[in-house]
Amino acid sequence: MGRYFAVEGLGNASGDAGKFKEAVETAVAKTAKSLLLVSEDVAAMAAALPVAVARKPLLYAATADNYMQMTELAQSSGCALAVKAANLDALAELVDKIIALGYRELVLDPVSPETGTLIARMTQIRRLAVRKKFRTFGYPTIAFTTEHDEQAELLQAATYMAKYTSVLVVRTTKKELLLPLLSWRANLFTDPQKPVAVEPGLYAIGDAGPASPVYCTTNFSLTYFLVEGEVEATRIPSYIIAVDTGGISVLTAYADNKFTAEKITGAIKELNLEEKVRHRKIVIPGAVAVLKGRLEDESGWEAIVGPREASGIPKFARDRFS
Amino acid sequence: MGKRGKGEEQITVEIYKEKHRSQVREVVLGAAGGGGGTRSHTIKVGGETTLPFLHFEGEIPNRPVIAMEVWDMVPADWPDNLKAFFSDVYSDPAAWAKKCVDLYGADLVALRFKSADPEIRDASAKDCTAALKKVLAAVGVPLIVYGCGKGDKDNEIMGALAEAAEGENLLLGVAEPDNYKSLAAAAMAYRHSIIAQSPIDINIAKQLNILISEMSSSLFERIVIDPTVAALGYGLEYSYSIMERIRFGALSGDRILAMPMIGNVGNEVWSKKEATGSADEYPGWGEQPERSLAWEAVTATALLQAGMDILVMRHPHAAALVKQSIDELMRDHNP
Amino acid sequence: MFIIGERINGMFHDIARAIRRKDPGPVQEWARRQEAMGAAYLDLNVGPAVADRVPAMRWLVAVTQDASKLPLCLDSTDYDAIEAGLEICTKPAMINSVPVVQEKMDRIFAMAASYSAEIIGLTMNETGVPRDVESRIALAVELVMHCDAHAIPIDKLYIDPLVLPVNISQDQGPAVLETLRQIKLLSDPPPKTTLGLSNISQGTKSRELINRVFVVMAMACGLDAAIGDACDEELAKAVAPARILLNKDIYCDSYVKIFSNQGR
Repeated sequence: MGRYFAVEGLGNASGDAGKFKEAVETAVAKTAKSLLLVSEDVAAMAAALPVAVARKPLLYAATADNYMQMTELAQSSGCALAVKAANLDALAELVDKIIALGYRELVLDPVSPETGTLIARMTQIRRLAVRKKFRTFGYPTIAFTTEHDEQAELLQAATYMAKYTSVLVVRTTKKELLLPLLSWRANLFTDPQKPVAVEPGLYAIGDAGPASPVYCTTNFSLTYFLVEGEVEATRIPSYIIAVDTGGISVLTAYADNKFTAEKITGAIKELNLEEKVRHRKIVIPGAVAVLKGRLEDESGWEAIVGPREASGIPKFARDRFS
Repeated sequence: MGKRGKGEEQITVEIYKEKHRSQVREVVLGAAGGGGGTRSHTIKVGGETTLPFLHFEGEIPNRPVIAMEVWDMVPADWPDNLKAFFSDVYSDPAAWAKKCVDLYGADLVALRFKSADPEIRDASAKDCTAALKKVLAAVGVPLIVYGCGKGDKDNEIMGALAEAAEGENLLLGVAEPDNYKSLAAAAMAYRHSIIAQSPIDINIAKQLNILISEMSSSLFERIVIDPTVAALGYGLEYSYSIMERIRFGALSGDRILAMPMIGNVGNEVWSKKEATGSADEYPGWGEQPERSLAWEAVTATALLQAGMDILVMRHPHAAALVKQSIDELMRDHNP
Repeated sequence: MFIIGERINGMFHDIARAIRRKDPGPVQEWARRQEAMGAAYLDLNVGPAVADRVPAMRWLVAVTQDASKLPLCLDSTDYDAIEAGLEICTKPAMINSVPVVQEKMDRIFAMAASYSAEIIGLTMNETGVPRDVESRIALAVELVMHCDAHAIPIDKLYIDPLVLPVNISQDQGPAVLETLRQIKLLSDPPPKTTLGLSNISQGTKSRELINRVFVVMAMACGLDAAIGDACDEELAKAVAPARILLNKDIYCDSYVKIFSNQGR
């Protein structure tokens, strides 16, 4: 589900180089994802890298002990290199040394087993890079979760995500835990100042059929999802038309002539609604009750004025449709 | 900022600390014997001089707390995996509250008078005060008290509830821009604190606090802001950024926004299909029981990073997980 | 932008008389009134008519602190008087002021460092106030360098580019505004800026109107503070929306009302 698939090395003993290579081979065969190769053992990394080099894996990690050879491996293969050190001073020193070797495709790991320490460090890395233009820290970051319990790991991961982790490595493979984490990522990286649109069109809520009520609203995501949530809560299978208003809300779209009787009529026709439902009734938002007359003239459908706020839908539906 | 000492390789990274001018106001919840109430202890929230959990640059004197939600009636819509925890106490809010505190470790109890809703049971002020008194007697923790969410009815019952618990310093919810006077008057008269709720809008949050301050400057000191939270996946980013702006405002000296914040997490999360939908309905989403508690816990975790001081939650395991995460984040970490 | 209340100054007869008679009444009255009107600092100046400024300043600081919790801005050309005041200030104060004159800067910057005080530095030297932007900026640079040399955080320095009355030096208005703008480019973080606001309108008609308009123009150029009439309600009414428009305050419907309660 994530963008990377991590292959973890089995340790530093030289005998493991072959096993690590095997593991990487398996991963290459079984997944098309980008790979994260995890081994501080240079020999193991050197052995496994050719297997995966076409994927441009992220190499994890250069440390104070192996950075010369790891940098060489990264440089010659053109792969990004994670840099790992136990505190910020050591991390800065190591990054500078690698830069001095002429390589800049780096990802920083300010490792800590403690969530609080890690977010303090991540905060510093980001602040120093952005506010102080401290170039040594001007790279993406990587963090591995350390909590063993999967649910605790989820919260740790969600916290890391909020506080500036660019590559997050988690162990859980449960969908029920990855779904909230990925949803959090989607929320966090959505600019709330930009209106977000849902795809205009017809949405079936539950097992909607020919007798199901039809609601219409705009395709502004916040409006749409509010309406969707409330329509779901009615537990009456229904259709919702998200009219293309360029992703703006009901009143704004109305004021801007983007949510009009003609637009709604057009949507009813385009979406072949007359074939999908037997009745000819459409619920319009209470805030634009004024559209009723014109919509009925234009479309020939009966326009039912719904509640002004989405939260009124369940009661409205109970009174009207159940 | 990195500086290289003369002639040596050692680098010292100079920690970057924001200079915040101001502090979030500390609000005390509940009143114990000395303070005119009957709570076994009080709880302080707020007081921080920096952003969440950045112990290296400021004081965070009080940890975020978790209130568990208790209803005065059986919640019809809660999914089974949530209902199961309370099936033995549904008929008795006092026992329900006690279970939340004694068994599940709730810091606070948030009592919601759902049955007062005219469309549900239209319970009377008298019924509600009787239930409140029982809960007060059953648990020692401070209480948050919510009405049924219907303004006119709430104005009827909240005054009676406030009077019945005079001096307990309940946290009464919710005052809204178009309906705050009667709740504020009740809080003033009977010495309670108040939740000022604004619709994900910082300007309205500020204005509402001013309106309340115009009624009483001492009640102004006992406001907790409810910025209105959205559930994970349902516009959480709006709440997150409004909360961050409120907190930045507080720390940079805007005293009208320098209040602790409360979020109705459970109420938002448990109506969403991600929390209630079965694996049969949504095969790609994994099992509902664990997904739903994760949904509530991740929503809470996100809000903590935006400055939430009081989380109102429902699922005991989600609450316990979040509490454990707060424990870890409240240890004095340095970068 | 905040106002440093200018009213406790021995140039005003009631304050001069209060200092002579050691009557705290008028001083404390003005302290309270300016604080209530939203001043962020109180400027204290013993005035020209006092024989010994050291005890006068000490008395002024003591009685003002009894009446107001605001930080003080000690205003004198007599640096012994300023130091006497700093010794008893209960919170970090502001020193008003120092020109770019070596021996004066040496003393004031050292004093500011040891009392953690803020400094108002004037863009003038022995030869007076320069007329053009470049010379004012050259003097501002010297102030910034001295701050650095004394390890005083740069945001404790308030540079005053010196306004002159508009009816006498009409060309100086734009020069001051441009200087304010350029001061903000001198360092990162930049120095703060301040003005003796009432000077702009000396000897003019409708003085308050000129002050009010000029302060808003200066705010748009980066003005951080102004020494002025904190009790001019119309001034506060102009500053409040200017703060909103410059994104310094978070908007709410009662923005005018709360600015006067909020001060800085």
